[in-house]
Amino acid sequence: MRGDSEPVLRGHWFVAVAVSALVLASVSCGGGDEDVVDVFAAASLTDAFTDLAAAFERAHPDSEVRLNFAGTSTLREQLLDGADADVFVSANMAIMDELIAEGAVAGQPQVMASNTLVLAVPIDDPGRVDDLSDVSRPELLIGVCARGVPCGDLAHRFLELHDVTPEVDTEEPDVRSLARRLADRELDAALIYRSDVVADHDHLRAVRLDPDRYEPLESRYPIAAIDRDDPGAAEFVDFVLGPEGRSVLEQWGFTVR
Amino acid sequence: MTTRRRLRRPPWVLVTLAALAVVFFTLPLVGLVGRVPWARLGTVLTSSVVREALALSLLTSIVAALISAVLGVPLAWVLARVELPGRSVIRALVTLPMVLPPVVGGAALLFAFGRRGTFGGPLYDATSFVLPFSIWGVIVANVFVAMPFLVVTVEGALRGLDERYEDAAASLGASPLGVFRRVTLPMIGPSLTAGVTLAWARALGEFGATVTFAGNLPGRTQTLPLAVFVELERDRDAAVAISLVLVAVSLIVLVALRDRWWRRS
Repeated sequence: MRGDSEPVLRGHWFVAVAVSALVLASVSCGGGDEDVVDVFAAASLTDAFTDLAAAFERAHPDSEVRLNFAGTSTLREQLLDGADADVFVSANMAIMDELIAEGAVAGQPQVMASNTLVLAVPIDDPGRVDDLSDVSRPELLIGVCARGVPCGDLAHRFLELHDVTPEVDTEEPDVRSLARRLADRELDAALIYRSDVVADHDHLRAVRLDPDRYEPLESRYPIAAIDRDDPGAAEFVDFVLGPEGRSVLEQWGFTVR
Repeated sequence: MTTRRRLRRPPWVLVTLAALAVVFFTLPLVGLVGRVPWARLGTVLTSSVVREALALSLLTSIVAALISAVLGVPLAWVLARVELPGRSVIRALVTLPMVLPPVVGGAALLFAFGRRGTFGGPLYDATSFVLPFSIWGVIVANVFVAMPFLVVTVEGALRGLDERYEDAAASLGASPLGVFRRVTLPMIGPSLTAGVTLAWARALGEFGATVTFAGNLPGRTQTLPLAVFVELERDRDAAVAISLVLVAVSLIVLVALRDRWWRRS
């Protein structure tokens, strides 16, 4: 019995090792002949850039766009740790400036779009929220982004600017997870971007805040190629800043100037 | 026992591979310690974020370990001793959180016990009680991921136990519960300690299920691992300092308990 099973077992081992090696090899080589553009973009750009990448690939059949979405501060750490990217889109100027100062981004940044911070509620507004001051009501479940994340810094600045002390129940690490919780009605209100509301307008809506009392705050999105001389990256940046890119961004609730 | 021979020279293949494994575990720690901001360490560790996170982590992980023991020991006993139909299915169900990505567990908890969840919904309508975003949410997430470690450890010990001692106690007139308390429990003592410790350590390090189910709020639901995650993006020095605390607390407990843990029977 034992003598029979051992060679078989050894064979399995060999196959397993060979298959793993093949898989590893194919993963690490990837791509092939196509020009791959690796784009690191802020989480709030998830929908817009998924569309943009598809449009770019249609216009440039030989190119492939690979997208990596995360909170801008996560992307900053990835880039500082040497992640292989071609284009970086930040959700605020500060982090882009920091990466340029650190030498992790060499291209010239250009402001691509801006996004407005809004007080959002689930579509049926279970907490009956109609003013920014409602975020201080202790019986409501309120969410913001964590400090250090662009939408969190913006939200805290907005609240301080208007002297509102919120009764926060959770500080989410990125704006998409916050919007998700709100859409699932786990929260009653949250400070997110207008684009997040547009992206999920079946479940979310923005509370109309009196613009005279609450001057709207905006986040600006700079885009830059990681390397100065990278034709593929330059092509993608130009496409995003061009008419097609602008129309996609506007469609997803961003302001383009 | 009697045939055990002392090997004069351990095979070099085994020694090399074992050394490689030790190096593999050691290098990340070296990397972490190398990044520790020693000059700022005191300031960072006494900041309110770290103090609150440490207190919350210790409290929730200890409570979770205790709850795991209260529910998990009886469960382990039932799995080891009672002929149940579908016992293997129950065992698979109980060990599932060990292999499931914790974030999946957190999402499942949310769908069950969230404010709009299958069971959390009616609870909220009746009592206005919301489990997520509260310290109880953290504890529930911790118990979910930690209890399986205790159940597996204790069940293993119960299976390895010589049942003749229990039979003898029963034949001398001890009630079934009395046998369990006076004979079984003391005999699996070391494994029980190991199980509780493992569950506690798992709860202390828990991240995915907690952030998904309980959210993240300093002072209420932000445990040490969540603080590390948030600070990694804001202040790396702080993240490294908190990580050092986690490593230190875990190592101290694991080393202190090593005798009970490794030296079984």
